Amino acid sequence: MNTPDAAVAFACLTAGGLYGLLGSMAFLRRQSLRGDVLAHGAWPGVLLAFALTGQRSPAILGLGALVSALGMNYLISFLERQFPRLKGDAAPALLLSGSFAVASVIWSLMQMHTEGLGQAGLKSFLLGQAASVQWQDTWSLILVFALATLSVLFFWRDLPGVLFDRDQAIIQGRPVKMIEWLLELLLAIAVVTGLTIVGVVVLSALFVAIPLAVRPFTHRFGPFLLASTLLGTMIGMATPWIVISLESGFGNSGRGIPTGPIFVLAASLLAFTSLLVAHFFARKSPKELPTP
Amino acid sequence: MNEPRQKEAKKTKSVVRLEDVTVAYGDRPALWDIDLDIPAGSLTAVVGPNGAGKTTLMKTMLGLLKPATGRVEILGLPVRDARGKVAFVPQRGAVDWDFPATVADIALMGTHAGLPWWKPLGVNEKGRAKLALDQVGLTSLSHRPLNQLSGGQQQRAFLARALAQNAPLLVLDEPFQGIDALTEKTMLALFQDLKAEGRSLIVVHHDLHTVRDLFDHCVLLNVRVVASGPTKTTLTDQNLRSTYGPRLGLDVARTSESPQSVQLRDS
Repeated sequence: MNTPDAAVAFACLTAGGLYGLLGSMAFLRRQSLRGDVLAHGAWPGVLLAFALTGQRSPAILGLGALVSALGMNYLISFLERQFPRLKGDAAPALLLSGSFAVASVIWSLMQMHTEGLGQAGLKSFLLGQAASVQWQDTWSLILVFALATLSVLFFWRDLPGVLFDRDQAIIQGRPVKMIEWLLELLLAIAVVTGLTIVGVVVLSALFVAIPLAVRPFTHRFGPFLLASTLLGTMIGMATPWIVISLESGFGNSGRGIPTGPIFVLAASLLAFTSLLVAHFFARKSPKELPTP
Repeated sequence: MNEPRQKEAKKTKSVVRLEDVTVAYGDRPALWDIDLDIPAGSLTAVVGPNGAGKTTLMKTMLGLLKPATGRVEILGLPVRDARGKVAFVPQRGAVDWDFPATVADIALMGTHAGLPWWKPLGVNEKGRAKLALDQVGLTSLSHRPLNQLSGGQQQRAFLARALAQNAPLLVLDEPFQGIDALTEKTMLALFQDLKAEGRSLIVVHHDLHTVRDLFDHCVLLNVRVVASGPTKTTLTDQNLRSTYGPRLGLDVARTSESPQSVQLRDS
């Protein structure tokens, strides 16, 4: 049986852990949609960086992606501040489809001018193609994961307070702005670093599916974060194996199956199962404990 | 020589001081030209109809909303410098109760105020949280997850968090919503104890009967400050009429003198 490349395997499991960790906090802040905006917002940046420089180096494309993702992230806050009418998910929804529309136009224009040059490579950003991952991508993912873990440990005591009740944390004089800014920056960097594995289209489902799968089984912040990270790692570990066995199962050696959808399907299946199990257990045991 | 010091002393005697404060949401003013001086060590009730700007007033005092004009001083300090010295009990709808934490975790969050972020919670903090849970009667539920609490228990968890903060000023936005009469009585007694310790409390409250009996200071608010001062001279029929409007005001005023308490609840 075929085995996945070591670089690919490590990249996938690190990405899974990273999305589990950061996704769980975005989930608690009810900002899962922000991850979607970051991912979709990165897409025009990737294309523009390629169009302007003509190079496909991960550093240049990554920089383009990061700048445009952070730009979209800032635009959400800006729009919500300027137009209070844009409530809830209105501004993120507008920006995520808006940036995808912009990217599609750029994509078509590029196709007219460059005759398919290098587009095969760029296409892997859309749905993720782990097979194109190289060791340097893997190392950057490991670095980002280490940074995220350190930041979480750094602000460990204040994190739950800021995520649970932002106003209260401000009143208590906690470093709320700094923590929120750090979480958003980490999320943007994580999204951009993982683009080649999961792709811009389906990435944000991970931010919801992984924390959703563990939420029914833990009632504390620490275990919730840890379980979400571990589950993400496990899904990431399984993904390249699933992709390879599917490919060989269908007699396709040409690396045809995108990694992103497999990643998301595995996570969503687990989340669905976990909700079912939780529901089943909730039926069996009385939900309300006796009040003393 | 002596004058500035006297001025200083006078300043610190008031726990909250607002001068010409106006707060607006868009074009609509929520608070108009507020002048307020709440003495230290008082138990103050903030009273007014729906949409009078009571929550806005709380948020402005706490520095969560920036006034369009005017000055706010808390404990003799600008709002920013008073952070960590004020404890706040919000309405319980303000947060998502599906957060993965227990009652004890919430009480512990109160002790974070004023603690450097790198310092781990010590015996002192845990002791304060424990005492606070005991004061609101939640000790037996301290390990219960938040999403399994009733409304009244959530409200008490918030109260415990504020008590654990050990702040000289407590601000409470409708702390008795969803709380049964007996617990409300215990809480009111607790407020008296806190006041006896020299702390100041500002409470948005609707029950004019208890305001009359237990609060020594009150603020009648309807976008403007209608009246503010010692309860005896402030909570008059005429002031209530100007706060709630002529017809409703009369009802409130009449019933509030009868032994039955009047409840005017928000939403």
